Amino acid sequence: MSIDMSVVSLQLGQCGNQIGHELFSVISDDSNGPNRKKYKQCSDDRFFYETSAGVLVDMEPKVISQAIAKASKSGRWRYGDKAHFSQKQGSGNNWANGFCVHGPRHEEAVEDLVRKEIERCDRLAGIFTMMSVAGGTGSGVGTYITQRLRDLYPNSFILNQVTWPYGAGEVIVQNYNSVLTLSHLYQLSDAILVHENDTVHKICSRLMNIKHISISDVNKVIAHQLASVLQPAYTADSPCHYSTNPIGELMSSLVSHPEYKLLSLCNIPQMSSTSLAYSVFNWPGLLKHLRQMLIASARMEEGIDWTVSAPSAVTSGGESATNSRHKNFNISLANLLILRGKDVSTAVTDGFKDPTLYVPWLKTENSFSTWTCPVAFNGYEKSATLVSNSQSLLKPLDNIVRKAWNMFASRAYVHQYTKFGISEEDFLDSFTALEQIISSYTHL
Amino acid sequence: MQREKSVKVKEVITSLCKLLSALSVESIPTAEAFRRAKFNRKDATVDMWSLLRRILQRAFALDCACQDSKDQDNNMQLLFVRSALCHCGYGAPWVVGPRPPSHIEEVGSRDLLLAFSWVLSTGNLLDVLLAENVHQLDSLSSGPTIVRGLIPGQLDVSACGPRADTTVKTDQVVQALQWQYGKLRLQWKSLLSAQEERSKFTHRIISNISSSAVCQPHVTGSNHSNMTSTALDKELERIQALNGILEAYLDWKLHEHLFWCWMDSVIDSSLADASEVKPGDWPPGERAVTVRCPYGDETRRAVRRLDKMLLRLQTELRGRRIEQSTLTLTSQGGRQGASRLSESQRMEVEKKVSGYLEGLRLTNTSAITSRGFLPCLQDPQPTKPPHRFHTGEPGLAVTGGMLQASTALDELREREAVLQWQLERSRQNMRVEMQRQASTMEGMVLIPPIKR
Repeated sequence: MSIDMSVVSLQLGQCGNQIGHELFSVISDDSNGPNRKKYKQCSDDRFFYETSAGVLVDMEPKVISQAIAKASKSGRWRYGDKAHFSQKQGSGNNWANGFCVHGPRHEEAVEDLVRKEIERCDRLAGIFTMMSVAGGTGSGVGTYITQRLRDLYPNSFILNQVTWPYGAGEVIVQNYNSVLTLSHLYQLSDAILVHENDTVHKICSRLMNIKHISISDVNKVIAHQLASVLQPAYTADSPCHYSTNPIGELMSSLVSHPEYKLLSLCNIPQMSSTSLAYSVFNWPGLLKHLRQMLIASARMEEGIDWTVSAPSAVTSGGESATNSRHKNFNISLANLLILRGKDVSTAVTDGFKDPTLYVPWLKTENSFSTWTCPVAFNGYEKSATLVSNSQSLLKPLDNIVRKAWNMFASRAYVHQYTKFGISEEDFLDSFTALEQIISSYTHL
Repeated sequence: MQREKSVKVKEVITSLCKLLSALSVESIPTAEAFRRAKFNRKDATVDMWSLLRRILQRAFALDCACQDSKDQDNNMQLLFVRSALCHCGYGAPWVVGPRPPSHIEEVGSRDLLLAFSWVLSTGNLLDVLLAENVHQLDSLSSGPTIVRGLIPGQLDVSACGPRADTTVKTDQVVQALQWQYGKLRLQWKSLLSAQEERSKFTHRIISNISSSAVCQPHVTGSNHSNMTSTALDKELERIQALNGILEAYLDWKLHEHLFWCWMDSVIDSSLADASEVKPGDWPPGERAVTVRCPYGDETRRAVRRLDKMLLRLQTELRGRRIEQSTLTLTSQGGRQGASRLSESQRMEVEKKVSGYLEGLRLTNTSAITSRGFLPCLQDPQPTKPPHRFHTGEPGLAVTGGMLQASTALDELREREAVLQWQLERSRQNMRVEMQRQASTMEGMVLIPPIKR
């Protein structure tokens, strides 16, 4: 019997609950594919214990009840009967409302739910939370709950998956919410895994050729990417059987430095199921594309800028630093490559071991790791995922902070926050923290 | 009431002493010593001196290679304490004054107490010491923080190195170290959870076997359990020490404000004494200012300027009053005339004084228009009250450098009026002066210029 570590997932707010539900569906579908008994067992141990090890939290009941209903209808898996918490009224897209009012009011109930799930596990692999940063519940309540969980379980891994909103979003104060959430989470979380709605939307429209993109299409893509990271794999620490500490290993590969916690995800190939049937992939091609996507900060397979290249190692130390800052070259701190599918042992990953891709102070054996799994993932014969701690999120983050600051300079809507107890000083502290993060990443 | 207050103060000071000793600062004086120091008693000097010295040594431990105090002679100690306090921005006469004390005993215990409270309030000394201790006891609590001394913004000594490459290399080495340390921490966390799991299973096994074999375990497993128990004991001690420190810190934080109230009373008593003693080199007003906020030459200069201005205005006002009263005294006959004169003269005086004050105000405060601004014709967007760092005058429509044209015009017109008045006044003064000079010189006739 393989004793596996379990991941307790926490779905917060509307976005978090929708993504969480899709994630469990994808995991369940993938595990129930052909020829993968051990894989399924490991995955089931990790995410399900008769029922999913997931806790759903939202201030409105609608999304949660939808998620629970859909799960039960699928017949393959369902949520625990009491593993959810909801109220009658939402947080009104107000971070301060979520953080200062709803969070403290309901902290005990939510902590109870999480504790029950944790006690059911033999060993806790980590707490995985899903939320969006733009709204009120996911961001505000989510941040508060993360804070409480960090206090209650100081030695556990906390991995926060956050969804950044569309640049031209609907919520006027989304940038305020984003700034406040990110600055707080950075102190509390071990790693922050970021998805951007804009990027995923482009993937849906260009790669998957979906004409009318719905929220569930976007969520399916995000869930696919997340599942490709969380499903069982062979790692450097456990090359013969599936890793029993996936989140811990992910963290020690990527976020060992306390100043650099932002992770981005890149997964190829992504295409509609109809095109999938007619495509053939090979590892060299996939890896070459992925490498160029990393260097050029491209988030999807189309429109990659092939002119960006790694600086040559011939130039002296000072020069290569300035060269790499030209031409939008993306410097990485650390990368984790996850390969799933047929003939994965033949894949050559040397392209990623090039020291010019990384910061000079970290040796390549520390910067780059690979996980493999011979089982084909979610219908793709071969699939490669790159989890990267690099400068690729710098521009979007900078945009968010800039927009938020422009609004803050004229104090627009700030009274909505001050009336719940978030003062202007708190805003300033958050801006300072994010400027610090941006500065750290800029000077990688 | 008085008794209660003094008991409370004693408790507060005792909690501070407890915290300091929990943070491994040596030779903490008693609360009684603090009280004696407030009244500048000689017997408290030694205690306060050693406390101040040790606190400063801890604060600057990373920045200077302080030798052990036992080896240093008294002069070196004095020099160290004075330079450390100067570095903290403390400008008491015995620290930065032109005639420093040559012997420790020359410095009063109250001065030492004031210096100590200054060090406590500058930066975040207690927090830094707390973080150090917590980190030693609980390594998993956070990553290693590079403590840059207690003065915010203090230059890192290594950054002022001779060559740039060494700085870059040191930074890189530090970054690599932080990475490795972080990795170690994360692996430690994994091991911890594995250990928890193991103990969970062990407990399950033992509880399943337990009913039959209650007496057995402590005989067979004694060796092993001894080893684990010593490890557990050490762990327990560590946690208890950590707990003690954190409790002392919390206790201090709850009562901190009372300590500062008490320190206020110390400062008051020191000022009361200072006013009795002869001023020495510096004027008394300035001395009081120095003791309260002894930081920065500019502040001192500005205060001196304001003092001089006030003095000038007061003497002028007094002069005018005396003039007026002599006029009324001498012209006793034409009382009405005198009153009319005095009224017109009063108005003159008032006008002169207001103009003078206006002139002073304009030269010494920077108006909105003297700073750079962008005039705009439209109304600026409605703004919330300006940012707290914005030192502009409230009530004026200013938005990030944009100034409404009408406001700017008003201000400029005001300024023009005052300047014109000043010009007119100086012209008149010149005319009077010239006439006077001309009248004193024999054979000289003054022909004033034709009025335009």
